[in-house]
Amino acid sequence: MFQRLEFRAMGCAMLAFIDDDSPAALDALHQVPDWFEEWEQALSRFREGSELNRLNRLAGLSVHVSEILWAAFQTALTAEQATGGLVTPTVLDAVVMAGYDRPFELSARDQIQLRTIPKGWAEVSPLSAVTWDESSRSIRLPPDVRLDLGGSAKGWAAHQAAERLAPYGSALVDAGGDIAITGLRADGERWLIGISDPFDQGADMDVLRLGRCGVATSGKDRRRWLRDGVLSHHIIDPRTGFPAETDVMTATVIAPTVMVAEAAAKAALILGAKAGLDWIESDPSLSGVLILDDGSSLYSRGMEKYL
Amino acid sequence: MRNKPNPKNWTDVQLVIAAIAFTLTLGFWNFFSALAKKDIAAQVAQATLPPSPAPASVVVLTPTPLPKIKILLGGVAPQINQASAAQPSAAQPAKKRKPGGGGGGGGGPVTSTKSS
Repeated sequence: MFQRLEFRAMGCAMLAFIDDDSPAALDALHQVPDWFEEWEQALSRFREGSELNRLNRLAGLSVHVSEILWAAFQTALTAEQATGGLVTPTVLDAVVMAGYDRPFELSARDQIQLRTIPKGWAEVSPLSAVTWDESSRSIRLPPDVRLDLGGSAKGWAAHQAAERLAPYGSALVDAGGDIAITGLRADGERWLIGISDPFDQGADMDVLRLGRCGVATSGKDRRRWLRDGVLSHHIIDPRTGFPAETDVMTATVIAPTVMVAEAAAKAALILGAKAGLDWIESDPSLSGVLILDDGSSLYSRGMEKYL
Repeated sequence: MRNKPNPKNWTDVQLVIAAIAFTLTLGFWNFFSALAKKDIAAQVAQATLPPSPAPASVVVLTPTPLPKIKILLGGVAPQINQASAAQPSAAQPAKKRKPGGGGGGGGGPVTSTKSS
């Protein structure tokens, strides 16, 4: 018997499971929304008083940051290095220029907002332009660079929450589709996780059977809008500074941790079908499936053991 | 020689007494009637008078104490559910499966990965 908790945080529906019905496990599960609230207050770019916004406002200065922001920053740094710069938090100005300048209301059925978007373009600086000092836990942004940790923060938060729940039982934390799993269920079975069908809301394309790992999906089927009559989305290609032009609708990746899975899924989406699949298969620790614009699916070689 | 005038007889006395009694009766009637009218008029006037203004008082505003609970804005309050791993929730939407890709282990998926 497992306990299940639903709540909203970081602009997404959140879900936490713990496969134990002891009072201690239930008490720990109750604390998950508070953890997310603390993390969101530090990492959200949509909260005026967040620590991330304070860091962005103080660009040009060396700023001492909290352990939360430091850990999320290090996660983003790892993601950028692992993806060769395809996934970077320095895309904030580019994503705002593209039109993603306010939180999306997820209750909207089609996730599309119609707005007049000013034409603009922002060059994406590499994260190497940012300097930091581990001993003083300080970060200094160049004057023209601002960070957006939105992509990596959810994965990081899901991982953190799952690891905190793990001492009480096998745990699963789903942060808006970025899912962290700490191990097999109490009955020794693997957790069943669907891969959402981007063309049929509410239905799954596949069902994965997963033990300890992370799984994440990146896609252009949500958080999109019309710009000059053209559908745009929030996945920025740092090489161009514009929303990625890709034939992949969604990319789902299974990795040792949800942070790696999230970065890999985004990289595969930006790279496109063929290069994205090759990139996933180049790393034996990754498995994935790409759902293309035409509705077809491409599976990496490692996927069969999860289906 | 004229006759000596007749002395007043008893009938005249009775008439006088009756007249006096009648007069007194009417007089007291009017007197008490006037008093009663004054009371009624006073009551009517009191009933129709506008209420006297309440005495001015100083209201000290104190902040309403917040409840000792966490208020979550913009969503449904967290709900703890207990579910059997072998039986998916009844609210779970119907899932379609890829042919050959079984769920295994009994039940349906507990959640789905999707772009966020």
